[in-house]
Amino acid sequence: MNILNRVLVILFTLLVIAASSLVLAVTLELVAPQRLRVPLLSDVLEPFAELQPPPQTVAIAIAAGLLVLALVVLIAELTPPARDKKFTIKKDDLGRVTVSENGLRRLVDREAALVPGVMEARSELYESKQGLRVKSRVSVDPGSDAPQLTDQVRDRIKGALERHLGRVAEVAVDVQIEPLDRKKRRRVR
Amino acid sequence: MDSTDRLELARFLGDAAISVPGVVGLRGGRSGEVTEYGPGGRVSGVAVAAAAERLQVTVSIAARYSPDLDLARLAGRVRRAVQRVAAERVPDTVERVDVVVADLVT
Repeated sequence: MNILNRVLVILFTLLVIAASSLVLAVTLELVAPQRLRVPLLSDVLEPFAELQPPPQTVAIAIAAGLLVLALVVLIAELTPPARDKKFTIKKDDLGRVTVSENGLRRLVDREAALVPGVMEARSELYESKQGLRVKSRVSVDPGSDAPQLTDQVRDRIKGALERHLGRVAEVAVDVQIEPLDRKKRRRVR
Repeated sequence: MDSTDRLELARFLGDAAISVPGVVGLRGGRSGEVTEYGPGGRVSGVAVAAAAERLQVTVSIAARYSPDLDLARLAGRVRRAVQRVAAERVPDTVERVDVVVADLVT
């Protein structure tokens, strides 16, 4: 949704919130329509003040429902969207080159999978003040030398990150013989 | 430059980025943060900001993975392709081109 559409939605929800709040206030007899200093508004709200149950209950339910719905939409519109974290590859006067966390994770997984004996790799990236950390789980061929493979995968990932990002990363590799899904299922979104 | 011109330019710039070998597509981002909107359409993966005859372009790409992939070099080629097409299409100066590698595919 572009900015204009978003502004229109926000204005519309504010209008619905104001209207439903006024209807609720008048219907619940919290405010008398005559006390509103806008004649047109008083005229529109006057019938709500005269409602008796059951129409009064229906009006309250509809106004409350609209109020809640508009508040939910307003909060959703005003909440900043989740953004994919980005890692800088290069920055100069001509612009910045970045790779998304998702892209970098795929790169790490593919680099790990290039090591002979590795069947599958899944990695997580963490960035802190100490620098970039990678936790990689790899599924390996049962006949392979696991300690040796661990070193090879770690070196391969470190090398790739140094080559692309120019940064040294701390890489932890967890090797297992079973397929990765058997140990920990990933949540599918 | 109005939104129609920006949308039109974004289409050309997106095509220029995709034409670079190693680029397989454009990505608008999780919430469409790199998307150019205009009357009657949108271009995902390209955003153009224009002010005082200066353009700032962001291109978000999906790259093809290969063992000899060099992301910085690929981004440089995308940047040059975008600058070349922008220079052909508009008189504005391209101040900067930001390139985001949003995805890698095999």
